Amino acid sequence: MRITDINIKNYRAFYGEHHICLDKDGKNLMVYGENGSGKSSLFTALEDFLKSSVGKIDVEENIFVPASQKNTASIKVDIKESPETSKTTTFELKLTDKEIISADKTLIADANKIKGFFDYRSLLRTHMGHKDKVDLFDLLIGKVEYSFGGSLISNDSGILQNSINEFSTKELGREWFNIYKDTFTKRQDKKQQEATKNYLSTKFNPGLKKLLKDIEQDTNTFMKYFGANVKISLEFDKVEYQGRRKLSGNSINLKIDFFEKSIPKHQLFLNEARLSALAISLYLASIKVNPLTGALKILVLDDLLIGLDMSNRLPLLDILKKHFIEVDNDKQFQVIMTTYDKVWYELVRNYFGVEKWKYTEIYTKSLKDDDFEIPVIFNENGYLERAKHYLTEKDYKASAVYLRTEFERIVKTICDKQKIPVCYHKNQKETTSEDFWTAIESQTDLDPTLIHEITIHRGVIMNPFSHYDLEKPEFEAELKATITAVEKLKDEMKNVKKNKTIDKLEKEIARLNTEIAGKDKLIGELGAKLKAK
Amino acid sequence: MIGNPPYDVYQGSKKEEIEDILNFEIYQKCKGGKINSFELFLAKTHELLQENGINCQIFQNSFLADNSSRNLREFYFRNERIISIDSFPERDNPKKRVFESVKMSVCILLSKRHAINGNDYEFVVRFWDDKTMLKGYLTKFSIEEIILFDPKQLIILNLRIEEKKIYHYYYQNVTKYSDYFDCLEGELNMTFHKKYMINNPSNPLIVKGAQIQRYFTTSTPSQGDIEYVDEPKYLKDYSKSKKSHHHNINRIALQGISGANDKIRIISTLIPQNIYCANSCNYIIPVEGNNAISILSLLGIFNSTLTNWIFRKSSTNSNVNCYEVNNLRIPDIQHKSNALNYIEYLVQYVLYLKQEIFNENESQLIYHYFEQIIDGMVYELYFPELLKKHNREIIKHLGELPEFTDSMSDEQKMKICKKVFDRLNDKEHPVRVNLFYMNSIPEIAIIEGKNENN
Repeated sequence: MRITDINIKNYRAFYGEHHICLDKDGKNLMVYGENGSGKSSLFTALEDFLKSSVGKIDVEENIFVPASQKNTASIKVDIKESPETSKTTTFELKLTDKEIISADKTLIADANKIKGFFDYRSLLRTHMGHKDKVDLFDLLIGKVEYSFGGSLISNDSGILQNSINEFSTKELGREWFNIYKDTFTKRQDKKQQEATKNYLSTKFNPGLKKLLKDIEQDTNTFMKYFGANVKISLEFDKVEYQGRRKLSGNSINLKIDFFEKSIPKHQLFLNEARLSALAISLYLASIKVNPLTGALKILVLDDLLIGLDMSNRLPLLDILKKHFIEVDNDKQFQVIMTTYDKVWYELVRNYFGVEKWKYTEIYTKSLKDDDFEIPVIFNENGYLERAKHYLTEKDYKASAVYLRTEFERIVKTICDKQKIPVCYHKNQKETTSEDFWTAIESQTDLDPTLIHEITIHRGVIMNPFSHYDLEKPEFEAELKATITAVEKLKDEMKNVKKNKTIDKLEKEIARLNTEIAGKDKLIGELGAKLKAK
Repeated sequence: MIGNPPYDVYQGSKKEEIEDILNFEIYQKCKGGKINSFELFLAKTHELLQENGINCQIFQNSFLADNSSRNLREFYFRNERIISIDSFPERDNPKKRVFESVKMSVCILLSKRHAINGNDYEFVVRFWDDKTMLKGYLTKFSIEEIILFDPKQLIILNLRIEEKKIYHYYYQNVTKYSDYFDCLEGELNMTFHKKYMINNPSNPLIVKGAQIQRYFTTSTPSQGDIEYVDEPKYLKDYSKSKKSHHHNINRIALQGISGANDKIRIISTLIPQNIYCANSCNYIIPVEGNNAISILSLLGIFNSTLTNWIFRKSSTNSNVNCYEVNNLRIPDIQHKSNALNYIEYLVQYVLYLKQEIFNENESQLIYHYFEQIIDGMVYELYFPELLKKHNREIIKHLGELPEFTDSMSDEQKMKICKKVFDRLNDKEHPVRVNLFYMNSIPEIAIIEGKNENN
């Protein structure tokens, strides 16, 4: 089950209607967005959408929506049920309904149970001081605080907030919140005391213990990707009711073994990078612990990369690839990541490629000068599409730039895939698309007609130093023809094969020999004529 | 007419008084069961009101669902136009009660004297969390619906609008518990039969309400002492009573009173032969000729989340009355004997695992998991189409469940439990997957209170 389209209207940062297309097969999504462009609104839109399958929620409308558009905020998601079918079902959360109204919304409720939503804020919370021991209870289960007057001060969710307690089939975070609330706000008569004690001993404590045990193995597996060659274990005994507003034992101690030897001052082992790695590993392990068959499984990581140092970013991609993406079909997650780091956006693009991923950019744009900004979603369909887009916009220069970029991408890909040797330059920056093109021309079986066609346009449009007058009307026609040629080259990418270079050379030698022989013959004949005279 | 009539049951020394009162024709509509004084006031109210006169009174909430108020309810449905009812269920916390010193639940009825023809008029019922009337929910009933849900007792249920459908599904199963079983009050009255209750453990045990837990009896009850019956003396005095022989059969014992606000209202277990029941508990025995459904299968169904929800929805006080139990439904059992056998075997497992000797986390988890499977099967038995539609069936994926036999040792039984658990608890086993996603089905989510607090 995969999401194929996301439509967001007048929701939080999304003023107006916005569409993110994940193609008919429901690709994973990587979003680049400037700060304030609406990445987090996308995160909450998906989270609200899933939550609204099991209860009513308040949909937050964009504050700039004009009176005529009030109460029109909505989040619409198309879901394809299986790879074998082309059938998609549309589900919509409208502000006025506060919940998804659909007979099939069980699909979304299933997805809500198995969802993974992790953001940089959750990660930042892991960077807290640990003195003599590392207590992860608040971080994992959540932190609740009540005032002496009995009002709720804070309720910070933990990493394992949504994990299901197998003893009660409820979410652990919510269970903890309710236990805490009961001891702080309810009258502690004998019945209430017994109820809390009983719940702790028969449901909460054994359930938490079991979950921690279950996620240890995967956590350690994931930690290895981050280069932390250690074995962690999470020690939890039991939470006990000690009377009104008194709960004890709410601590989960981290124990770390390094090559089967316990590290005595292990809190020193946990620098910020390792703590981040641990938090991510625990979180991902807690998602994997659930039954995975069948349901739509969404893993949304909002700006998580930015919360990670360089050494932790690539390992995260490796984990996602090997444990969430490149797994059996019915256990695959649909991963949605956002970042405001363009370098990382490109790196993820290179890492995962385009077959299973969609890359989208969100920029902010003012409707008028000095007006508020709205997000502009750019569903990136490749440089060629951008070139076409700018051609229709009459921005010829931009079109030519994207065309040249696409051409460079294609020739580099062909040389890379076919392992075609390219001219060596001591300074790598001096390697140009010309070098790649010459190599393709001479060493592949690419159709000579297409080679000819490309060669004609290369000199004019695709030369970065071309002084072609962009204002001339004939330039538009030239651009169109070049786009057609590059499109053909793109279509041929998969078919191009490296040619047997020696055959070609032998043929050339034979041709030259014939030519020489012909010229020798001519010289001989002319010499003979001269002698005769 | 505005009133706060007295709440007092006519019993014991007052019985004679009520017999005289009932001779007046206007009070005859109050007949049936134990008569409460507020019912007499309601009967009189109608006589005093003029046509279209308005009546607003606060009285016991039992008016909504108790058998004893059945005739009066029907009279009001026909002869008064009920405008609204505000119901304040029983609260343990005095601060939440309408009258701090009165624990019992109360309601406020607003009606107009105006005879109604037909059953399609609707009235509003608001169920409030406490006296502040700030939190609660509103629902509506037509007389037609009330007849549909319970044509005999005509009860006004504590049902939200979205819950009505589930309740109706359940009661579409026409077979009542009373068709195969009988629920009775414990044979030993703790007051009248006190003389038969002794402390000598060499005599047969008397099970009291506080000892009964889900799937086990405790030897350390939260209140009261463990007592035993002076059997020869009791049997000598009561040999003619049918009840005095019911200790000779395996029966289900249940707590006679459970918290009106509790999610779990039915707390029951199997008690073997030669154990007596005090009247603080009720018990269920099979009726003669019941070969269709075993007492163990019924125990699984009875203790299930679904049955608890249904009971909670139709009960207005903390009593678990026998007539309410007898009115519960057994799923249409044609072609389902296999499923009932499976429930029976799973109940054998949980009864075994719940013995107090097994306190480790592992056996606790096995116990909880088997309970979840029973819950899932019960949903499937009552709502087969619903589970089929969402592809969350359980029964067809269960595979082999071995039956316990008398000759098996504890070790052998535990081995069976572990083997079945390991198989069905595999992370991707269809039973575990379907149970995991079961409460995504909106109807099941409502029953399990997925969005309510624990």
